[in-house]
Amino acid sequence: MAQPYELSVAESARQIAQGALSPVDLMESLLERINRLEPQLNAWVYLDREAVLSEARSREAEIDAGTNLGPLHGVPVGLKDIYYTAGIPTTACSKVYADFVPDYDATTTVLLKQAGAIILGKAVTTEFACMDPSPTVNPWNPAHTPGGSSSGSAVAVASRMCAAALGSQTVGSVLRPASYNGVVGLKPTFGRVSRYGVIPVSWTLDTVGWMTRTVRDAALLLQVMAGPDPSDPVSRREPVPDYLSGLENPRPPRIGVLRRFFYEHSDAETREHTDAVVHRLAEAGAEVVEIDMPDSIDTAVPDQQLIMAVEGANFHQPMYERQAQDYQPNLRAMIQRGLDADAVSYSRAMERRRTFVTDMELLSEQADVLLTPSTPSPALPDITNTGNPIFQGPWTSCGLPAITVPSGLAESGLPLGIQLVASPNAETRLLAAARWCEMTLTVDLTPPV
Amino acid sequence: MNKSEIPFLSTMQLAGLIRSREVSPVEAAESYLDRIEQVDDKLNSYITVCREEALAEARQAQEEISAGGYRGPLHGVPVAVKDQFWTKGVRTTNGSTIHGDFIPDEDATVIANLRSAGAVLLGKLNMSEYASGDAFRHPYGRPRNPWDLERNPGTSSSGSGAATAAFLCSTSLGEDTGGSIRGPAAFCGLVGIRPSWGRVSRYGVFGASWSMDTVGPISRTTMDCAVTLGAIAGYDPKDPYTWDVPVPDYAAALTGDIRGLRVGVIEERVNTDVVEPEIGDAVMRAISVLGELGAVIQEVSVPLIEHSAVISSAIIGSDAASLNRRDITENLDQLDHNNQVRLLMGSILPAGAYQKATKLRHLLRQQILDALEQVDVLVMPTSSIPAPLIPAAAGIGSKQEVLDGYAGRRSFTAPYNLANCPALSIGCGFTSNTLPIGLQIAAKPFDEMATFRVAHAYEQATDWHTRRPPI
Repeated sequence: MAQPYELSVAESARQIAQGALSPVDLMESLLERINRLEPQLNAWVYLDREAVLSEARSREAEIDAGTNLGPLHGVPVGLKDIYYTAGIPTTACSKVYADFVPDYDATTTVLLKQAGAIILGKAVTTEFACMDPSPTVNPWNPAHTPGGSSSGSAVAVASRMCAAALGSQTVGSVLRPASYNGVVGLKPTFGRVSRYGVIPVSWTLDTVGWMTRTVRDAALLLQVMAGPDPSDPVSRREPVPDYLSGLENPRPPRIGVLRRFFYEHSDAETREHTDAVVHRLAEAGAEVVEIDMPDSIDTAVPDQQLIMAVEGANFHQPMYERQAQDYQPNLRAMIQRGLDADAVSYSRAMERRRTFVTDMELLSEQADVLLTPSTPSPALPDITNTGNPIFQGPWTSCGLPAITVPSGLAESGLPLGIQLVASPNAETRLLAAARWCEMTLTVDLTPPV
Repeated sequence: MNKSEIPFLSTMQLAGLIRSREVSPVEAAESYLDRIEQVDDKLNSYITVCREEALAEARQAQEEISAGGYRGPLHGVPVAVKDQFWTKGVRTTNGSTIHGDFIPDEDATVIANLRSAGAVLLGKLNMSEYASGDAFRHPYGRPRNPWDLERNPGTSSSGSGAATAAFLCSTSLGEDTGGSIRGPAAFCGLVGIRPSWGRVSRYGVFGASWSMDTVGPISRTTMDCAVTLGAIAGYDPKDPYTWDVPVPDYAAALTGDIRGLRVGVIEERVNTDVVEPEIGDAVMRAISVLGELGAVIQEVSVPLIEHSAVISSAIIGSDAASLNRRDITENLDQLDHNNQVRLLMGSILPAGAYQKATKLRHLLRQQILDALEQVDVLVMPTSSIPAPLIPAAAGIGSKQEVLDGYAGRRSFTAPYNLANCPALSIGCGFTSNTLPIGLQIAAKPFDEMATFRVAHAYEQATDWHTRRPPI
């Protein structure tokens, strides 16, 4: 029989709701797992064992008294350490924020708690969700990068320290680490989930997202957290649909495979693997079409880097002027670049980005989902950087929803994934297609720890 | 009908007479061309008059209509367009000497649309150089306001305002980046609409700001304005920013009935010292008229609106510097003094400042959209002041003048460029020295219809649009 720590979010919640699983037993199982693995993996910056056990006892008492708070009742969820948690340090893993304790919760944190979830702890991020590597270790092989910036969230979910953890994506910070660690990563449409109470990198790019081990769990979290938030000015106003019912019997989707740009930047193994996956999906009934990328992709990556630097520098400027030496080198360079940039360059980047957004929105209407390899290669044996985010960046830049689903292992023993992308606000379609791919590929990856 | 009376008809009246063949397109074109010849020396509203081309187009329209091929309300109607729009074979200066010899080899999409509606192009209208409201020097003559020749007809679609008000064209097109359609409409007593961003193609239009430029009509009545917009609006594959949203039949919905329509009065733009009392009073009286017509009036708040001009200046300056970067390095001395200053400032602004302005823009947009959740339209003055005197010199007079500029007209029109919402100006009275006053009506993106409905009902209940300037 499966250990509680191995259960998915949906399965944990189902068993808790039925009285078949005690929230305290689940918590103890996860804490034991964390006690065993954390010394080698460094996934957490803050974890109060007594406090979360006490929360678990409250959830248990509630269930015993017939009270079920919601679809995540009693399920522990990790938060990247950029989500505000009232009374709990939120450091962004930076010296600059070392003493910061927010006095309110991020909107997403509030919604998770309202749905009955227990905030398990704060997961490691690269400093301020940027490019300097974190101390977190890839559970598949410590010599390989776990990715970033949501490194702790991805590693915690992959190594079964929790079934779900929130991350955030400004370029490639949810889907890339998810894929490097062999789990599911979802980045919803820009504005679909509130960013209120999340330490920013770049306000026109930042999107919250999360890691889970199943597509259904990703959908369950979206159902809990999606929706308009008056406190977040970029929040979308559309009503929230039912994301879950489409997962029951998903039909084979129409898949648009993007080779231009994505195959050019992939290694041979990734290209061959992706071709094999596409072949399997087609055999199983998916309609596969090849879709070309427009020329606007050529400037999308450098433009996004400039936009991120300018907007990131704007947030950091007051701290940077006081304590530049407390920032790590890659972040320092990004801030300096942003401070040095002129408005004309930013205006041009935003103008080209607007064209790119239009192009991508039209492209995304040509199929149910677009498919690319999740990353140019599996996680490389190099922990001096966090890997290459260029397969995620374009989708973050144009705000389309994207998900990565594990699709196999490379020769190096590291996971590979496929990335699916859909039209703005088409998460229902995206998740149904991802669920179909997950059922068809039946890849279940457990790291050797 | 006496030919010299033709120019004074509304577009819809003229269209009716052309359709019934009581007036021929050639007579119509000749009547306007004659009047331009008589009057425009005083106004400088045209940069180029296309006499021969217009007469040829009119003859063609006449033949088509005689053969039973009537195309619709603009068929055979003489129109004129701001010299910012590319016209195949006709010089397009963008108000500058730099483009003084530029003859495009294709039409802007809006020009092509006007042509396929059968309109006759009388010529190209004067404008502020590079569509910048700040430009002082006018290489093709200083445009003047038909209501008072010592005054500005509004910028930057100056000729579109002056020519339409002085009956030198039946209806016209302008371009609005920060108020360049609504300003001239208000100062000349006309109806002008800045449509939603993405409603009208900008292909073949010299740009000022990629994120704010919109193309729209300036006309003498709401119905004329609605018909003109209907002819030019719609998706254009050549312009990636246009949206594939069907164009409604604006004119058909103008019944005059606005009972139950919710009108939000923006308190920060009405209860403010910035607005000259005569203008504030006229706007309040107009709002009462809307109430008498059965609209539901309520006050709404848009706190950031007062900062609109500052926010938009930071963005437009750098957008313009980006679009015109070659001119900055190669042709700077050929530009107007104020434009030189503006482009140079735009090119040295740090990205952080532009980025902050963009963020504020987003917050302002949210506030406007929130207000539009409660009401169907927002109303406020189009300008805090009536048409100003023509300035005596380029440059900046005083710090106070600059601050007044930011607090004044620009922060009345700019909010809707920043929010990318449709906004219309319609005459709602006159000052004691007979200068027109504009009422501004704004609505949700792609709800131009609501602004037309309110303007049309108001126009039916008042007679401001029947007054003629003393020219």
